[in-house]
Amino acid sequence: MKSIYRSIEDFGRFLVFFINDMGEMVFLTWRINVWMFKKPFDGKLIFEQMVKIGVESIPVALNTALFTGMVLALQSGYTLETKIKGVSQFIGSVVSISMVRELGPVLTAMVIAGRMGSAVAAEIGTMQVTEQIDALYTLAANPVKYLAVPRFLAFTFMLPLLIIFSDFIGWWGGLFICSMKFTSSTIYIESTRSSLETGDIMGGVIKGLFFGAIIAIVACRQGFATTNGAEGVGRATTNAVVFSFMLILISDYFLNAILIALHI
Amino acid sequence: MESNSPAIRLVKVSKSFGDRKVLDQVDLDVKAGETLVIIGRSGVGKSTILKHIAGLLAPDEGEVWVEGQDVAKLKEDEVNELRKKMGVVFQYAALFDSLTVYENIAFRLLRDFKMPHAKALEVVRRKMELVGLKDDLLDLKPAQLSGGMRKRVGLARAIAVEPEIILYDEPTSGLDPVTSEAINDLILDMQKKLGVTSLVVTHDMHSAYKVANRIAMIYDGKIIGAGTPDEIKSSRDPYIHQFVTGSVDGPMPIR
Ligand SMILES: Nc1ncnc2c1ncn2[C@@H]1O[C@H](COP(=O)(O)OP(=O)(O)O)[C@@H](O)[C@H]1O
Ligand SMILES: [Mg+2]
Repeated sequence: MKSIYRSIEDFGRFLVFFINDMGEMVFLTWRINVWMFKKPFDGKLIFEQMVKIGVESIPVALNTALFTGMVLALQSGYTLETKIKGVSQFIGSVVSISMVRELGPVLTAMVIAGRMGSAVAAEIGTMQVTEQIDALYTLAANPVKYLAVPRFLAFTFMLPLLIIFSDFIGWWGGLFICSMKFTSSTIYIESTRSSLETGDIMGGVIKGLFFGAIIAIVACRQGFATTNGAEGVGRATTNAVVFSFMLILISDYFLNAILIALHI
Repeated sequence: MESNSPAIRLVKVSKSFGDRKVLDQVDLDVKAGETLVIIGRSGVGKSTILKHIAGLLAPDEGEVWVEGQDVAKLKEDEVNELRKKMGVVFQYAALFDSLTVYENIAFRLLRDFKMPHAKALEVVRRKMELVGLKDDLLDLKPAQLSGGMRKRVGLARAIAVEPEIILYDEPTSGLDPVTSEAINDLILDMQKKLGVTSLVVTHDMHSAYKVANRIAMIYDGKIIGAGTPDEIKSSRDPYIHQFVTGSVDGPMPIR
């Protein structure tokens, strides 16, 4: 019993910490948007981050998408064939709609949060505890401008692109499994064509913009708030991933609700 | 600004971290062109004083004036203007890990002063020579350097823009005696040749005696005494005497 109370208490403390942190993240978002439009324009820094965050994440994002598409086809094919019987011509719709609207955006965001959100929090956190952030200030470079803005832009622009790649690869994985085990590829493609709309893809891309912003803000915030040396860097890294996951899932629900209300 | 008004002035500055009061009503003046050395044991708040002057921390109470401006009241742009005249040498160098030695030293020249690479490279080579570094280090990353080299790169970065004020946080700690002496000479040179105002934090008494015009000792959040090197050397204050002679016996507890 005691340990249950203890964990409820811990969760309460975590919640207070999380809500407090949310305030700081809103403030950081505002500061990033102010600094983004000030000179100088850090094209080189932004490009470097786009390569690190976007291009170098392609393999892991595509691997995730491929197997997600394959398992979606396997699972929906099995369900449609044996449980509902005789509607396996809809596999293409099921795979493409779930992939494009839901799994592509959310899973890609999570993979990127795990791979790059953590890395950004660790990098900025290390800079914080080794006084490199202080050094930036003394050299007249604002850390929000120099570090957070390029990462924010890279996450928000690259995540939607990765999601579009993921959607396609996931759909293709579904096609592969479907044509091997269930229906012909023509039926799969036809079923996709009859149900998938541009709005579905747009919805996923809009989600990607938000998720990218969330990962960037959370990671930068955790990095800047790091104290207590190496131990603190570890905590910042973990928090960045945990908070990103929570916020991605929570905002996914509300984004869905909004997108549906807007008929997208 | 009047020529005899201090370059740096702290007026009753107090600062707490959590419930620990690190600075307690600290008053301090550094005259233009002077080298003031702050001595004191680890953790008494020496670096904290420097960070207030650099505008990295704001005092809970009191005021920090640099070149006639109240640092805590300045807007970010104004602080940056002030920082253009200021070089800060960090205790552990605080070099940017992701940048090369050249990019570190030239950081402000390139980004803030928009200096072309060819010219910046020239300045960087000159500053590296001043701090006793060979220019074959230019393309290395900080992780590839020894502690002493990092420290000197940090120093070169601080003096790259010809600052009027230099804040040194333990510039000789962790260096071999020969390099330490070279750094001491450099601090003296900066003052004599360029008329720089310096604030040096250290607990290396040899270095303090060598570079200081005045020495101030901080203990328990307060400046407990200040004077010329000779006055400090012969001070009767039991705390100062214990510190400068490096003695176990005395009023300061061995924590
Ligand atoms: N940002 C901070 N947050 C909390 N405590 C701090 C911070 N900076 C310094 N301190 C504490 O303040 C005291 C003085 O630190 P510092 O100025 O670095 O000492 P010194 O440079 O004299 O060794 C130390 O006890 C240190 O732990
Ligand atoms: Mg210190």
